[in-house]
Amino acid sequence: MTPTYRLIHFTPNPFTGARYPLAAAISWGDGRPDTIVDGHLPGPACLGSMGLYRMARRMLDDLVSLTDASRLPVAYETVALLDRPMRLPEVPQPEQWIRENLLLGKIELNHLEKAPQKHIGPRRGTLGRRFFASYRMNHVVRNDFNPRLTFPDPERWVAVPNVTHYAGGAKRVVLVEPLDLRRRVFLEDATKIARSFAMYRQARVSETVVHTVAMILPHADEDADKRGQVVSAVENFVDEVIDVTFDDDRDKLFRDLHEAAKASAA
Amino acid sequence: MSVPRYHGNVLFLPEQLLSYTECESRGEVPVENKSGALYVSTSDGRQWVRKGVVYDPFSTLSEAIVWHLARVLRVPVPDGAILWDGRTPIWMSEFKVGANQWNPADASLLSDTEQMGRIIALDLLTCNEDRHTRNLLSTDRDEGGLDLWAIDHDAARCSSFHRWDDGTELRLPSVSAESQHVLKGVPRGYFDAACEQAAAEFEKAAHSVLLAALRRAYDDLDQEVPSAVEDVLCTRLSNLCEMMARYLEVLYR
Repeated sequence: MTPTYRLIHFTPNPFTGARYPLAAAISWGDGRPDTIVDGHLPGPACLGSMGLYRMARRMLDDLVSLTDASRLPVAYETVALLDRPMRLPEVPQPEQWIRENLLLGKIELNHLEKAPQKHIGPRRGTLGRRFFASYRMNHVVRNDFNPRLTFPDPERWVAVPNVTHYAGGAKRVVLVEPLDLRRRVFLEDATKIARSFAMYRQARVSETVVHTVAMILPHADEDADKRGQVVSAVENFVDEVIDVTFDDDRDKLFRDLHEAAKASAA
Repeated sequence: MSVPRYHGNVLFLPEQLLSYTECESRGEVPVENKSGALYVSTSDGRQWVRKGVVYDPFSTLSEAIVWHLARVLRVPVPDGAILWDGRTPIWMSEFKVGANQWNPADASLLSDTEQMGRIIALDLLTCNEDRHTRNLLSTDRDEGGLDLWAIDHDAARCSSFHRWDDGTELRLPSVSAESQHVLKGVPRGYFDAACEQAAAEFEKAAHSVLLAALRRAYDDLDQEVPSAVEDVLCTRLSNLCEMMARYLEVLYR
């Protein structure tokens, strides 16, 4: 079968007719297509709003795991257009050819590319808080654990980061860091958490039992690959990785948090 | 259009649907199962998604009833309008730039879970059996987080409440196992508190206000409200919390 490609246009407003060729799917004739999503993404001012920019970024993240080149994910039917299949030219590097000739180009503006990326999307702590609140656990789980205020000898803890959520206190404390697989920087998040909890392990105090948990927030089945990457990144540095998508794991975490809070109150 | 006035969570003056007699097509909506839907603009510069012409007399009425109830109960719905094609009313829903269809995997990105709770509670109240991922839109806020917009209520059974047999006023919307319900894939319990809270708020809402909204919907379509519709709506409203407990079981079954 002849390899083909299809451009994926971002079309947030059909009334303007604007189409942004942001990605492409290559079908080699067998199995899952390859997607090219690393072309230039216009900024919020070009697309019309920060909201549209966020959505375009999320769409590109999701297109990485496109499984069928003949249809877009349902969620993006209203804002994206899958162009007709075109024959892939016989060039040595077809992906590069698509990037250079069809997708929006990356202009050589080095000073812009090196500019620090502004954080986009809710913070992990916010996502975690919303999760606990939705299960009415916010009376058990507290926010922003500061080891310097809890453990003796604050000097030892100067370099140890705060943790977004915790339950318990002086005798036993359960520290929880949420991970959202939908965030573009989910792997960076995982690495950061691994580093943070590794520090807690290093600095562990004898008076308090510290239990660290990386909590993977509810996610879709399609995110199994990302989940695997996250688990690999953190598993050697945390006491437990808990995926709250699964009822049993979630219940167990809630039990632990309740027990820690109860022990602390006693 | 009247100016909305809120008292607590309840809007007091029912709004009036915009009404048009002509529009200009800007192309088809490229989405499966939206047969005949068009992007259209009207002479006042507004942009809409116009539904295909339907011959079921109840479908546009259902849209209008649900829209009016949604407005008074603060359920997020886009603006609505009626396009009169001769004597046939066609529903139009305000076009939201950049609105994509709901992906349950985005649940943790919602600005608040309350919006979902209110939408599910409205579906329960109006017996809407058609809440799948294509009938719920989300838009990204500039500052982060997602907002929801409930659309497509032509299959809500509230417009035929007067045809229901006695004793079935509290029936739940059916949910087929195959349907991509908007909660499918979301862990059990994630939206429970929001749904229960919305049901409790709706139950406390003044019936007179909701009946005014209902009458407004019939007025917009030049029809009289059958008293049986009012009776069923009030009965459901008075029992919404109990119904919600059962409905959540059905949704997660």
